Amino acid sequence: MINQRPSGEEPRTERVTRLLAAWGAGDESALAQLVPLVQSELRQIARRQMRRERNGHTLQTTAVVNEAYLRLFDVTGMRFRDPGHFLAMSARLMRRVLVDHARSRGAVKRGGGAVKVTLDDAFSVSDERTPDLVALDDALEALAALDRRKSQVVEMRFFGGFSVAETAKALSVSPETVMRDWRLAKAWLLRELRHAD
Amino acid sequence: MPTDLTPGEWQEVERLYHRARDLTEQERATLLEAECADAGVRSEVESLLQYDVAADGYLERPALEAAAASLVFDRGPLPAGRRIGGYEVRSFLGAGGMGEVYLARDVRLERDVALKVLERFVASDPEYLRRFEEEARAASGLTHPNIVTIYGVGEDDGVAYIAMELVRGRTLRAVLSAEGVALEQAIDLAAQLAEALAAAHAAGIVHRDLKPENLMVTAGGLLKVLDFGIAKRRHTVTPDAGLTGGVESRSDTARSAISGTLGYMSPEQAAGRPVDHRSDLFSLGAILYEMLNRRQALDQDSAGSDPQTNGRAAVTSRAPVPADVPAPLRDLVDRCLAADAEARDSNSHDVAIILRQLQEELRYPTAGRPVTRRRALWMVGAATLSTAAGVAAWSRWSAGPAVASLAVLPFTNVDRDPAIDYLCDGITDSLIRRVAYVPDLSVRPRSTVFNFKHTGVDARAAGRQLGVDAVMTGTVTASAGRLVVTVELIDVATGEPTWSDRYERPASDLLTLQHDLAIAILDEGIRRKPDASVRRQFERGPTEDGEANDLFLRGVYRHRIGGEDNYLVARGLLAQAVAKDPTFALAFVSLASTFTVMTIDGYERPTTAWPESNRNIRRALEIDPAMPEAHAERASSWFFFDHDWEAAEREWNRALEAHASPALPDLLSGAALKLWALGRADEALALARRARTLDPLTPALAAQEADLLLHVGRLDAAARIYSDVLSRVPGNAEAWFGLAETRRAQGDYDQAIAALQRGHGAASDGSAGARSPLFQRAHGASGYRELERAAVRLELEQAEAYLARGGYVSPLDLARGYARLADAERAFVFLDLAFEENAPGLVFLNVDRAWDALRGDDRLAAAARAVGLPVHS
Repeated sequence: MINQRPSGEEPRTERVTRLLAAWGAGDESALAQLVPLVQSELRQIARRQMRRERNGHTLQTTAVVNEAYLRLFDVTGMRFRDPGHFLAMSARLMRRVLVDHARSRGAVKRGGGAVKVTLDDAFSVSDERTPDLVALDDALEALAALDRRKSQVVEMRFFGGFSVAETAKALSVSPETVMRDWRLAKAWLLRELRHAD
Repeated sequence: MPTDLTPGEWQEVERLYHRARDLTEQERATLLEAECADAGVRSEVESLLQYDVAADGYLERPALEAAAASLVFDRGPLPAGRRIGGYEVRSFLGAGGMGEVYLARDVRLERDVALKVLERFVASDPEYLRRFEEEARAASGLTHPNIVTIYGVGEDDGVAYIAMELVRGRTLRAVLSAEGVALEQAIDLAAQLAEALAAAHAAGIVHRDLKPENLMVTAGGLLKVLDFGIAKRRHTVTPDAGLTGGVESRSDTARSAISGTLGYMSPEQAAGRPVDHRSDLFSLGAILYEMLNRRQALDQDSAGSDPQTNGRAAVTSRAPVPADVPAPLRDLVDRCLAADAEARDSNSHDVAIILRQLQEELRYPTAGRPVTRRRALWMVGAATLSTAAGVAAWSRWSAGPAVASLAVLPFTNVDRDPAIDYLCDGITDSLIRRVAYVPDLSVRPRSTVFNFKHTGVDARAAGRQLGVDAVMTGTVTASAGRLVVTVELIDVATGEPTWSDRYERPASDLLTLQHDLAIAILDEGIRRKPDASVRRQFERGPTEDGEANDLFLRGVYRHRIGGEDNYLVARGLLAQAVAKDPTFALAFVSLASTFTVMTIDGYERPTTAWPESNRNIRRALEIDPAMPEAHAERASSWFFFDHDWEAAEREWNRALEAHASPALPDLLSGAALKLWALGRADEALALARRARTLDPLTPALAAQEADLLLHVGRLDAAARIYSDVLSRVPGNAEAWFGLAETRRAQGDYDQAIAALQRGHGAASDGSAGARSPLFQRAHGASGYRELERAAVRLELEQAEAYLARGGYVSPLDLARGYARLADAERAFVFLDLAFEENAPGLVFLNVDRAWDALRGDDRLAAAARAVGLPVHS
C-alpha cells in the first residue's frame, strides 16, 4: 500500500513516478489515483498551451505532448531499475487516461441517438480524423490475444508517443522488429476498425 | 475477419505479409501461389495487404496530440436535443479553438448550422469573451460566397454561442497533408481567397490570421474562410485612400499582443507594428507558396524564436517556387511575400484579378503566337458580337414605382465547375438581352456588368457603383444531369431581396428554364406588363432548338475568352449551332464575328476571312433584317474591308435605331474609331467619351478615350484615365503601354520606362520582361527608345519564327514593326503585301503611331490615298 502524502507537498513528477512504480509492482490501487491525477494535469497543460496561443484558435498539440512528458514522467531520472519498464508503464498509463477520457465523452455523445457525422464530411475544427480511442482500445485487446508484443508496440508508439528506438529498448527487441510489428499491427487494427463500423 | 489462427499460422501470415508488401499484384499472386499452401493463411495475408497502403499515415500522431483539444474542456459534449437559443443540438462535430462545434438545427428556418459553443472556462475569461464577440461582430457584417456566413450570436442559459454556416469539407491543411493541390486548383483557391479578402477589406476588415487551418475546401473545390476571430476593423480610412489606403490604428491592449500564426504572419505583424490589409496579402502569398511547393514559405522554428525578425530572414532564405510554375505566378508570390508591405500589390482585388487571368490562360492557352500591340487600338468597337445586345434607354429614367433601372450581374458558378461556366455567362447574357426589350427600363450593358465577374463585390455595392435601383443576381449548379438556378432581385436602396425564385430542370431542358426564368422575372420580379409585341420578343429566345442553344452558348463563351485557339473552337461550335438551326440569326452573326475578329487580330488572311464573315452576316440579315448585331457587324466590314465610310456609318445608324435608345457603347466606340481614322479626332473623342460615360467600367472603352486624348495631346487627362483603369485592372497591358507613351510625351522618362516594364510584364510577351537586364540600365529618352526598339525587334523575331514554322502573320504587322525601327525599305515592301490582301489595319495608316518615323515619305501618303483616307499635302 502506498503511503499517501498531501499532493501539495510532494512534487507532481515524483508523485507520478512513485505511483507508477507501485502500479508496476502490481499495486492496482495506485492506478486509481494515477488516472485522475494525470488527467487533471494534462488538462491544465492543454489549457495553458491554449492560452499561450494568442488568437485562441489553434492548440499547438505537439507542445502539449512535450510539456506533459516533461512534467509528468521523469524519463531521464531513471528511478526505476529498469527504464524500459518505466516507459512501458507510462505508455500503458497514458492509454488508460486517454481511453477513460474518451469513454466519458462518448457516453454523453452516444446517449442522445445523435446523427453520426464524422469530422471528415462536416464542419471541421480539427484537422485529422481523431481515431475513436474506445474502439481502438477494444481492438488492441483483441490484438493482444493474438500477438501480445504487437499490441505493446502500438501502446508504446501511439499511446506513449515513444520513438522506434525507445520502444525497441523497452521491449528488448531490435528496431527492425518494432518497425515490422508496427506496420502489420496498423494494417490489422485498421481492418478490425473498418469492419467494426 | 477470422483471427483464430494458430501461433504458427500467424507467424507465417506475418512472414508472407512483409515479403509481399513491396511486390506488384502479379508478383504477390505468384509468391502466395508458390509459398502458401494453407488457404486460411493466404486469405488472411491477402486481406491484410488490402489495408497496407491505408495504414501508412494511420496512428502516426501520438494519441495525446489528437486528444489534446478535447482535454481543454470541462464537460463532455452537449447532448443531442439540447436547445440553445433557437438551435437544437444534433451531434458533436469537434473541439478546437475556443470551444466546441456542434451540428445543430435552426428550428425556425429549418436548416442545419454549425454551432460554436464557448467553453465555460473560456467564457469566464474576459479576454476570450471579447475575442469571441469580436469574431462574431467582424464576420457577421460580411456576406460573401467565400466567407463562412455568421447567422447569429447570443447567450442562452450561460452558454455563449455563434451559429454559422455549415461547411462540408476539409481544411486546406488536411488537403495539403493528404493529396496536395494541382497547379490550377492552387490558383483557383488562391483566387477565391483573394476574392474573399477583397470583400472583407472593402468593408474595412483585416483577417490577420490566415493559414491553411482556417480555410475550408468543399468537395466541389469551393473555398471558405473561417474565423475572422482576430479580424479588426480598420479605424482610419481616409477618404482618398479608399479601399487600399487605410492603415489600422490599433489601440490599447491589442497593440502589444501579437496575434496571428507564425509561419503565415507578415513581418510587420510579427514585429507588433500596426498592420493593414497588406498583411493579409502576405499570408495569402505564404499559403499560395505552400500550395505550389508543398512546404511552408517561412520556417516556423526559426520564425518562432525571434518574432522581431520573422519574415525578413525567412523570406529571403526560402526555396524558390518550382520553375514549372508560370513566371507571372512566381512573380506574384514573390511580391506578396515581400518583407516590405509597400512592395506588395496594393490590394486584394488586384491580386484576385491577376489570379483569375492566370487561371484563364492555363485553361485556354493562347500561346504560340507572336503578340502584337495593334489589337489595343483596333479592337474596340470592332467585335460587336452579341455584346451589342442589351442596352435600352440608358439615359431615360422612369420614376415609376416599379424597378426603373436594373443591372443583371453575372450568375455565380457556385461549385466553380468549369464545365458549366459557359452556362452561367450564357444565362446572364440571355437575360440581359431579354430585359433590354422592356420599355422604360434602363438596363446596364453586358460589357459593364461583366466587369463584376469573379470580383466578389456584393450585389448592393455593385448596384451603387452602377447607379441602378435594382440588381439581379443568380447562381447555377449542376449535378447528376440536373440544373439548379436561383435568382434574386435586390433593392439597392435597402439591400433587401424583393423577389427570389429557384428553378430545377434536367440539363437538357435549358431552353425552358431560360424561358420560364425570363417570364417570372418580367411578371414577378420587375413586374411589368409590356404590350404584346414586346412581350413576344421577351418570350422568344434566339432559337427553339435546345442543342443549338447549348452549342451557341459554348461558342460565345470561348469567343469571349479570345485568342487563336478559342476563336477556332468557337467557330466550330457556332457552325454546328447554325447547322442544327438554320434560322438561328444570332449564331450566324457570332460565327461571322469569329472571322472578323481573327482577321483583325492578325490570325487569319483577310482575303479568305472577309468573304466568310460577310456571307454569314448576310444569312443573319435574311432571317432578321432588323437585327442590330448583324448591322453592327456589317458596319465593321464596310469600314475595315471595303473602306466605304458612308456605308459603314449607315449600318452603325441602323444598328443604333434597332433599340429605341441613343446608345450602345460598343457602337459608339466603333463610330469613334472611324472618325479617328479619318482624322476627325475631336469628334471621335466626343463619341468615345459618351461610350465611356455609358459604360464606365470596361477598360477597353476607357483606354480608347485615353488613346484619343493622348493623340490630341491632352496628356494629363490621358494619364488620369490610364491610371484609373490600372487602379481597377492592374493586369491591363494596353493601359500600361498607353501610360508609358503618355509619360514619354510628358518628358518623364523614368516613369515611362517603369510603365513599359509593367506593360510587358502584364502582357507576358516574354519581350524585355519584368526581369530583363535591359530595364536595369535603361534611363532617359534614349533608354526608352532603346527599350521600344528591343521590344519591336523581339516581336519581329517571333513573327519570323512563326512564319518559318508555316504560320500566318499579317504583312501589315511586319510593315509596322519595320516602320517603328525606321527601316523604310522593308516597311514599304510589307505594306505592299498588306495591300494585296487588304489588311484591316490599313484604315489607320494616318493615325497609327507606328508610322510616325516615316511620315514625310511619299510612299506613305500614296498608300493612305489608296485607302481613301484624307491626305494633307
